[in-house]
Amino acid sequence: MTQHKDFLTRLLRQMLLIRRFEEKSGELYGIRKIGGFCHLYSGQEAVAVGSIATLDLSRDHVLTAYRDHGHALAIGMDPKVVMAELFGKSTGSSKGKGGSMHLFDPNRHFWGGNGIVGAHIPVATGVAFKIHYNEEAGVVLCFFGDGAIHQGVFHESLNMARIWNLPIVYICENNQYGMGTDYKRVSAEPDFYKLAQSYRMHGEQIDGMDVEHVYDQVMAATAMARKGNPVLLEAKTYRYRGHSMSDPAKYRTKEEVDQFKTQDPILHLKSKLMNNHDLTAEDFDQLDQEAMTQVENAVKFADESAAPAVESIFEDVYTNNSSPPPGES
Amino acid sequence: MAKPLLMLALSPTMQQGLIAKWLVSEGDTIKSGDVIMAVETDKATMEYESPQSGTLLKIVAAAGSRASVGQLVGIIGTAGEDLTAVLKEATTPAAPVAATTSAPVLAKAKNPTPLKRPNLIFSNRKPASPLARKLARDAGLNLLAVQGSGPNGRIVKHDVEVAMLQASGRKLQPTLDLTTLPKGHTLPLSEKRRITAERLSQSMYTAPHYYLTMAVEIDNLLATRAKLNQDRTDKLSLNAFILKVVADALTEHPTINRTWANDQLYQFDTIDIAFAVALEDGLITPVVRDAGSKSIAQIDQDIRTLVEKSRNKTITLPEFTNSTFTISNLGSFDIEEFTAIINPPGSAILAIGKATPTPVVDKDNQIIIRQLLKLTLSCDHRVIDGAVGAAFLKALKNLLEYPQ
Amino acid sequence: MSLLTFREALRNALIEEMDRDPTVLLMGEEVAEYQGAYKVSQGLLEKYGPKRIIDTPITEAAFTGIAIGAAMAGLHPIVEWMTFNFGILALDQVINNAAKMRYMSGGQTSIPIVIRGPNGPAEFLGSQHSQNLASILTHIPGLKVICPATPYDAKGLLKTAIRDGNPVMFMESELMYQLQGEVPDKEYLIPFGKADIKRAGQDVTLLAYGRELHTALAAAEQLATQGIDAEVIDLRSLRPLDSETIFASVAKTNHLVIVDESWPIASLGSYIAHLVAHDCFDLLDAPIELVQMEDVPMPYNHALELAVLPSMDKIITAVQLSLSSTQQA
Repeated sequence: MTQHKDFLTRLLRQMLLIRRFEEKSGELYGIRKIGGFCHLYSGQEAVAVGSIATLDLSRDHVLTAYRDHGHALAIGMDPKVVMAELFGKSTGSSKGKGGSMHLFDPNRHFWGGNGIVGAHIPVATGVAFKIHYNEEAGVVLCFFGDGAIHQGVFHESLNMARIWNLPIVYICENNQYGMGTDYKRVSAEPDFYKLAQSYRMHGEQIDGMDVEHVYDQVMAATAMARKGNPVLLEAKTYRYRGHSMSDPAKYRTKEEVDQFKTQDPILHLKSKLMNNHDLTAEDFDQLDQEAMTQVENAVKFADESAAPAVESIFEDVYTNNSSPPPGES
Repeated sequence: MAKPLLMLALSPTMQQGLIAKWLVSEGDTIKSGDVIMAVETDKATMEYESPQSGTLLKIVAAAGSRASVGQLVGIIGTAGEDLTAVLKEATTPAAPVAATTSAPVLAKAKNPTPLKRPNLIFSNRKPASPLARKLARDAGLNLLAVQGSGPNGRIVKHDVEVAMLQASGRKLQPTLDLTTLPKGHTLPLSEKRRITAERLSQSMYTAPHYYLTMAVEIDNLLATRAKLNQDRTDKLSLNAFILKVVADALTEHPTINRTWANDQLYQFDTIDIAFAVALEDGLITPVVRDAGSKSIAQIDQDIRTLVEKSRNKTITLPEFTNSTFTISNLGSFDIEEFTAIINPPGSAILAIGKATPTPVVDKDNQIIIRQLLKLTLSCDHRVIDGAVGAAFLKALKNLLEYPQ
Repeated sequence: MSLLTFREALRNALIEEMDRDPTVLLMGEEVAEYQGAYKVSQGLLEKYGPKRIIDTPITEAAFTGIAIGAAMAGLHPIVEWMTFNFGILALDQVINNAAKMRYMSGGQTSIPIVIRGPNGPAEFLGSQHSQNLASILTHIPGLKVICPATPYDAKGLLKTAIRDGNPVMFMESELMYQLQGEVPDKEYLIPFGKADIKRAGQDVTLLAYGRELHTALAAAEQLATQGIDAEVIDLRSLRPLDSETIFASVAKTNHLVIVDESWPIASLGSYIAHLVAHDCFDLLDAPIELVQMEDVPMPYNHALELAVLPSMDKIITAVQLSLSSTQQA
């Protein structure tokens, strides 16, 4: 039981970190310390945290789209290098060349962050292909939004994942709006998990606001995928902020947002821990305070970090590596 | 811990917002995402969502006030907290938040695929821009004579224009439309005529000329010549005498034996005097080399040889170029006096008219007849100032009037 | 030395590299059981099995993306596009993912992938199947672009491409697969970024690549009968570009005619013309001539087709124009 409490507390910590990180990102965007496109994950924390908690990142892999801060933090990236990347600093994970949408941590098998809707779905399928080709034990989690599910490459990829029996779980984070478009308006089949049937694949709809539920469902899905049975999960969730920072989200009502906030994944887990695991309000505040301190430290680190050298624009276009290295043949 | 609540950019272009209304009061508990203010931006009235949760401890910017993006508008925290630290921090103005920064300058472009540029070696041609080539071609200008000022010594438009200016003022004008001229025909152009036209135009338009004229009595000189020629079958010419005297004067006044070269003064070591010879197909100026160290007889012999070669066209380029001084004598055409154009690279030319018997008043106030020769010295003012030229001419007069 | 066809030379390169490195695999439409649409992969399925010679569904975007993901995760896939015309469907994957992943991740990833297949016009195929896309791909930083013209170059360059750590677009020509040439029996590699002087000459430089190299060589022979000694340079590698060899040749001949099977606007040929005009300004004795595709889609009728393409006559006319403009000057 204690073990379970520790586990749930770990998930709570991660969700709090993401929530505070995103709130701070929004604020820093508001004072223009962060620029460009910035898509916040507030409200969806349970999906990334619950899913990624199932993985063994020494062998498993994660890819996602442009709303990637939450996944980056859930994977264990240091909030400092993530915030520094949002600031465009040399200490950022991509040395200031990637920005909000292009967070990478290959050491933790996190292959980005991708700015083109759906473009990473075949790439993730390719990582699963590599696992399959090398007969490894890993699995790939491929996250994307409801907006991406109608892209051709989604369907092409699922087809190949099935015919080649690739170890991959496609997780559609259905936050109800593809930018400003209600998913129901543009979907012939609004129950996305049913699309799996077209590819003779297991599909399931899960509650993306309940982190423990997400964990259990993704754990079951990865178990299937590891055996060569790819899975499509549709996690019903909700984003509290607009699509990006420049979106005032006028396409939905305040009541709707408030209604979803009553299902807030953090509050949900908080009450579960308080009711079942003796978590006190003070304990929670303590955890929250720790998350805020982490974020403050990240901001301080990013603020104080050096800007990248101008000459660095010419770096990282090509690798000089070849296999075998030049001269060996 | 108390935290600052800052004005945020609620539109991409917003610099400042007017707080239309606070929707919460001090002491209220607010959650992240709650709308707590109505803010008028440059575009519209926007809802300000709190980026943080906690108790609104203080409203710093009241409704009706304006706040710039990044400015403190309130404080959030836990009831009873000390606010002085936050307020103090906020009094130090927030670092200016730039929407755009100016592009940094690359110290040195480090292109990952540097281009290897060719070594430019020109053996038989001068680099010139296509435009310069066309201009030169149209102007009949020889590019080999033009100094290039562009990269790799490339001749560019400007260089051709300068050369054209030097070559001919006429050429600055639009090419003459031959059909507008009175009826006639063009003639074949000899190389001598072309070079003369080019060099003397260049001289006239680059060397600032001025002229000094002086009359010289040459009765003594003529007497001396007659005396020396008494025993000779090959009579020494008057030109040889004059050339010898000019050489002696130049020896005394080396400041005349200079030129203006690449914006610097250039002193010639020897005295090389050219003399103009009119030929059917153009002017030629053969040169008596090192005239300063030669006798009259030697000079006379040199002149004979050079004139002969000029007439039978066996004279070579080194024999009629690169003089340091020039003499032009039109006395045989009964010209009394005239001004000549300096023959580069020299800086002065002496124009000699016809020796004319002239009544003059002598030192005893008697009118006597004397053979007067009018000398006109053309000087390049860049090299020879007026007084210097005058002193030289005075010395020349002395030597001519009292020959040794 | 053996006399091999272009396709055999390519196949031998594939075989040598697949024997060398078990992470090298070939993926594409009809590459396995059909033995390759142009028979480059003939016999490879029998030799390496379906694990390494992989038939895909007709899904250029997704199988290209899958290869990119597999490459990022550690494999060395070779993708065969049945033609580059079909690869246009996958340009998002190539331009947004393959070419940029390394940069966006601040050098943390690399994409060692080769995408190869026939490119450029063949005969009687109409507009959609008759276009040379080399200039479009050469435009993209992060890609390498190779266009071999002889069996010898095809083999040596493909082997180098497979070993390169970067995405390589390897562009062949349908009309060259039957072309025969001497190929050493011993293993060899040809480095990228080295143009090859296929015919030395003094009077004019003819720059060409791919199929048009042979047109340029034929033109050079014709010009020789007129007393004009043309130097013919085979670019081989479009990116990286061997400007050094081009400049040296122009320094010698002072006349340049570029034969580029691209449309003229914003093409490789026009870029090279800029480079030479800039860096060899004082070495040029005449304006640079471009012999390219006429600025129209390819018609079906063969006579019209020939009118659109670069041709020996067009090259000869361009050379004469280049040389005559000097005499006028």
